[in-house]
Amino acid sequence: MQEIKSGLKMYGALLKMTLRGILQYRVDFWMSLVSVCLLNGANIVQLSVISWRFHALGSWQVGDLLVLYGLFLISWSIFSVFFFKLSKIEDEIVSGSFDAYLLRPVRPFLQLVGGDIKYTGLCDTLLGVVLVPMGLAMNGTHWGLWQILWFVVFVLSGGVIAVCIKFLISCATFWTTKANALNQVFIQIYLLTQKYPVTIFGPAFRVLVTGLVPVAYLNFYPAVFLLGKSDAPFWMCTLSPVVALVLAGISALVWRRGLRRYNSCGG
Amino acid sequence: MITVKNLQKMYKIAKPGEGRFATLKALVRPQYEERRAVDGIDFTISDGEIVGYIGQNGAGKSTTIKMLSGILVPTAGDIKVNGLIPHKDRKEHLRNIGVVFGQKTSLWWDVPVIDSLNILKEMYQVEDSRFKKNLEMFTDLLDLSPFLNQPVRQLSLGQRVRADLAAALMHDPKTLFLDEPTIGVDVVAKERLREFITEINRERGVTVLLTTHDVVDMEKLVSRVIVIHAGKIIFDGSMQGLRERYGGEDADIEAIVRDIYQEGGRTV
Amino acid sequence: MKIFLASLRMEKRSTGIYRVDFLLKVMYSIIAMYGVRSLWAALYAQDPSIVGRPLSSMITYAMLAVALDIIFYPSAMSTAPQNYISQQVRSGRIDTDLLRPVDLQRQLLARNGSAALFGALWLVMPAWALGVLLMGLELPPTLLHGTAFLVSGVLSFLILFSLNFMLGMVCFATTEIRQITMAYSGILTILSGKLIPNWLYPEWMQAVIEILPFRCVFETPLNIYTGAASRVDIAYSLLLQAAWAAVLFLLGKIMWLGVHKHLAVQGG
Repeated sequence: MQEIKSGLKMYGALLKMTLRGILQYRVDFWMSLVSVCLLNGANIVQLSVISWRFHALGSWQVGDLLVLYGLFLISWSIFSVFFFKLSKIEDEIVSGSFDAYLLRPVRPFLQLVGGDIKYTGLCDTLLGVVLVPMGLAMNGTHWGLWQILWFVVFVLSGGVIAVCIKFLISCATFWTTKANALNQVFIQIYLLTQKYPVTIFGPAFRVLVTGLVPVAYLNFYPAVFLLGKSDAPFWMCTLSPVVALVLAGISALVWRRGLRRYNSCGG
Repeated sequence: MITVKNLQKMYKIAKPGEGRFATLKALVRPQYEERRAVDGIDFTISDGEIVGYIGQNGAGKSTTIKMLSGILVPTAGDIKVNGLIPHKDRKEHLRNIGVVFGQKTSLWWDVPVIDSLNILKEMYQVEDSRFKKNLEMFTDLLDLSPFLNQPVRQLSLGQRVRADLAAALMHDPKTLFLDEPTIGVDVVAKERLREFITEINRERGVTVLLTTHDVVDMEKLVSRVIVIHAGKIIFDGSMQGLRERYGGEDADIEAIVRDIYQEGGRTV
Repeated sequence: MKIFLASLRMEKRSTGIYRVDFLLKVMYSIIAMYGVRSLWAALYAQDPSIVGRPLSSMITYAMLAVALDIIFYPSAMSTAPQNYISQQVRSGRIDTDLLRPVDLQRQLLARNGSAALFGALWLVMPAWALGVLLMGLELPPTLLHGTAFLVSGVLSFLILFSLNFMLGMVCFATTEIRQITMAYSGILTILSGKLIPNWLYPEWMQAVIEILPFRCVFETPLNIYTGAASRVDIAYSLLLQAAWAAVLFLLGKIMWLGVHKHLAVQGG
């Protein structure tokens, strides 16, 4: 308990400093905000053109697709706002700053997480929060308290899953010379799942994004559950928190072994 | 007190293949070669000593420093620093040591120096009064005040090393490891760094182990040198002893060091 | 040309060292191709009459777009001019580039070009072959279309290079361009026909896209490959591409000369 408390205090102190560092670059701040909006805008244009031409994607109506994308954005932004630095282990090792983490009597994990905060991710959160109800309204669906509770559970679990996947890929740096390419593969995968229902990519892909790299739990399964789709069995969708827990466990294990490996090779 | 017994470190390095189908071969079966960075070294450093650790680039200096500070785990052998095993009693050990790598800073790049010092205070849980006293002393001795409120990225190299030194000493470590602290720093700043290290050693009894290529560092700063060549210690003793063994009474230290770097030294 | 060859050799060596990278890259090209193939199949299942082009042609278009994308964002991301420049500016090493006797724009073109060629041979050819064998990627209808596609592809690369180079010039105004790069690639995705071909857009958007250079990057070569372009179209498109390539290259040069002058006066 004492440890958690002091850990949180440390995190707060680190974050405060990180923010002061960010505020040094005021021009960048505004530029980034505009840029993120543009990028999201581009995605929305894509979705709109497709929906305008084809009306629907399989059994998924435009409203459904908006909810799907919105769910992804919200979960993903939990990673990108608070845990972004976890995906940058390679950079830290190459630049030599990783050694500094090991030279201070504070958990390296905490130093890493506290080392960055990506305010631009908040645009994603915001957009997601707008898109989900918009999609629901287009469908004419209304959520009760029960659905809203599930929504919160899904988003939080999705956040954990996103963080863990990015973290695990980044940890590969401890074993291979470049985790970068692995990350590229992952990007290709989530670029597909973020906007489109997994079902259109066939059973093999679905196994991949459910069992191996469970990005489908960020938005697909929650959307199936919340929108009452028939793409997946009900019970499978509720596994989201379990997947999050399992991944968190694996991450903790891999991180420990990675540090040990770093201790014996020195990067 | 630092004791090192039969310390070894071996690295495994991926070998890029040669020949026509090297790329494909490397895909199927990667080749590794082993390199002995540190090959069974022993030494003891008593409290309050200033020891120079010298040797050619790649002789194993930095690897030793990294093992002593707990970043690297030895392949074999024993290390004890202040009664602790660095990589096992990590947290405890880190509170007792300060480390500066001259080549790279451990401070936060984008924030003013003072902010870095403040966060280190939190990390090492330094008491307010102690922190204040240290800050005053180091600001005075290292002349930090002109750049205390500047972000690290704007500092000159000399200023940066001074800030790094202050940061490494804020928590009153018993032992200080310095990896090439004077590299690239101008003559005046070097002199100041040397004075500071001597002062800290004398006033607070901090044990210092430093690596350097600077002959003046060796002559003015250290009371004892340990010479490492190809992973093995080939000399351990006073500067006078080094002179007597490799060059004779009035030999030029620079020439001696060059000989050692090139061929492990010529004994007379 | 010499720099080009030297860069090519370097690129080849690094692939040998990062063998895991290589396999993963082939894998991700295939995943991406498979992804767009499924997407269009699903959309066509909806109502094929909307599109006015057969599914097989659309799939070929989309999968080849993915392949081109891999060449254009080649293996070492650091060879893309905007990334390289931002990296150099931030670390303050841009001075060393100014010291070299070769003009920066040409230097980067050689580097980026070699990486792209290497990507084309080592990554895209296998992916393309697998696409043809397993995923229903069609061959170009005539030899003329095939050859014209290759020419058009080179021109596309040149246009994209100049656009990226100009983006790189923005670094001299702001240090961090990662975010801008993201937005830029988003815009490029929409306007270049990488994901959605121009003729699917509403009329007014088509009109806007027509007059911008972006569509020359993906849509032009792809329309040639899939046979959507007639002989006359081909001649016209290639000329248009060449014109854009020349104009943008010159524009980049002018910007660079301006920045260079500014650097010489302001001292970076």
